[in-house]
Amino acid sequence: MNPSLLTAASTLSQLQRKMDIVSNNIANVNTPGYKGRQASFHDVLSQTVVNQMNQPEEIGRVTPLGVRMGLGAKLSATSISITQGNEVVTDRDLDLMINGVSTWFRTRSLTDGSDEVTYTRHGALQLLPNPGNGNEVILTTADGRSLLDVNDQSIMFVAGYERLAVNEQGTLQVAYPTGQSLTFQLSLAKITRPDLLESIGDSQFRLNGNVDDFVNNGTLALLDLSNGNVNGENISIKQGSLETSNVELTHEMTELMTTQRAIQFQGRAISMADQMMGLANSIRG
Amino acid sequence: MESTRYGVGRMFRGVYTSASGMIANERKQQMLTNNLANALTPGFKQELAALRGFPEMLIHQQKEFPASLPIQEPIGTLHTGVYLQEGIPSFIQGDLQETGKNTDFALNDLALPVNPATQQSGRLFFAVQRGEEILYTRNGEFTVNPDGMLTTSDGDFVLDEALQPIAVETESNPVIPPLWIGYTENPEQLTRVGHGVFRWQGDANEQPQLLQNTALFIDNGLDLSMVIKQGHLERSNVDTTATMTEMITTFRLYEANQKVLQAYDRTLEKTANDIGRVY
Repeated sequence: MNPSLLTAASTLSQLQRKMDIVSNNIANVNTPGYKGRQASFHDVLSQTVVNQMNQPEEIGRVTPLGVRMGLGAKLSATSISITQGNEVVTDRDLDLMINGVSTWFRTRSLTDGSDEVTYTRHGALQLLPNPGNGNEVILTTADGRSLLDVNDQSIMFVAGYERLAVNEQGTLQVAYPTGQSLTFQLSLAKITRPDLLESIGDSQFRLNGNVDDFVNNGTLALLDLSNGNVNGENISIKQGSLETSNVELTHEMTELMTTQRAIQFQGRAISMADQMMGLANSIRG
Repeated sequence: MESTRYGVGRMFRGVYTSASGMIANERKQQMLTNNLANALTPGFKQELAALRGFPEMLIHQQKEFPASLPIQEPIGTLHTGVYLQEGIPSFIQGDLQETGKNTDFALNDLALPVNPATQQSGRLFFAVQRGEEILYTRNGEFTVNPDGMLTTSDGDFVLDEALQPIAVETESNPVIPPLWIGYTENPEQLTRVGHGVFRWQGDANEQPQLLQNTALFIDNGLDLSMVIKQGHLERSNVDTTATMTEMITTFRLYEANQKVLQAYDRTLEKTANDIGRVY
């Protein structure tokens, strides 16, 4: 078998994966709070061909003995880009935007009964009726996960409010026509190593492992913006705005085109290798 | 037996010569395909194939005297084939691409002046540790592993100026101490071990040394910020146009060798089947 055929074929399938990642980024160019992914490649372990291992015979040689043949390229890692997306003003009371990179809303599923906290920057929130108490509503994300406050509780309050305001410190104030009001403090998480975030769909991410370990090694910090304990960083919440996807369409299109060309190159290499095998096959005949 | 010495032996030589041409071109094609495959691999260095003729042979003609004393008369020299001698990595600088990730680094050789002592321009490398061994790489796409150590995407530790693995501070933004940057003027002595990593196979005394300790760096008053860029990656230095052109040429050379081999085959066919045939 012609080895270039295998090299080109395996690289082709790896490039296809990069294409998938780029397409996914482009598909999410309008998803609020979406964070783009980048694919990176490395070359595949070389195979050493032993030919003429007698140094004195190898006149004019500049490299050490042996020929190291590469076997194509492989997708080595995908990394998430955590840069801040742009702000788009919606003037909807339940749209929140986090201003500050690596900072996430903490959410929890209402239905599957697990305690696992997931993270999102998708701040288009909604109010769902509380299944346990028909008079109350729960503040949830667009996919129905409840947003957590600093006490790790879901934010539930009696419906029929007059005004719902969130200030820059993430304090939610619900005012009723009677003049009463309730306050909740949103909980945020600062995650310093975004590569550990695992995407689980619906704009949600999960940290795989023990939460205490992450807190102890500094990967995860729980923030209460009203306390001002944000390590001097400028993190704030903005009501009535959404964070757009941080995917840059121009960049992704460029990536798409270069990847597509690279795929074409590999296709051409496959066809050349095929023709070479054809030639070998037709020496006699 | 006469015929073996005079005729068929010589014909067979040509068969093997053209076959060696096919094999060598196939290997070269594989090298070119690998270059093309890595056109998007950061820090990749394309390899150039060096073909070399088989060692020369002195060809003699045998004359027979009436007394059947064989006398040899030299005809001249002949290469009886070709082989792929080596793949020479081309360490030409790749383009820098901004990524904005602070664990991405790119080296820039172009900032280095020509060494006045040797009249050569050197190349720079990062050092990584795999097991106990120190290897070198140009791919500065690093990441922080679950233990908080700076590694390559393959899990090798990236080394600092004291050749020690780097624990990254994650309290706020990752803080990365100065990396070990090696300087060598003989990059050809580095052999590829895959995953963008090279192993030094030359004289142990000449292996890459810390750039800041070289006379070149000190005498020219160089600054590290000129040779290393954080938030950038070095793109592959593969020239796709040139590679594609060369692949077409290599393909045609392979084809030409096949044609020659076919011609030999037909001649042999004549010898075997038609000469001396009684019609």
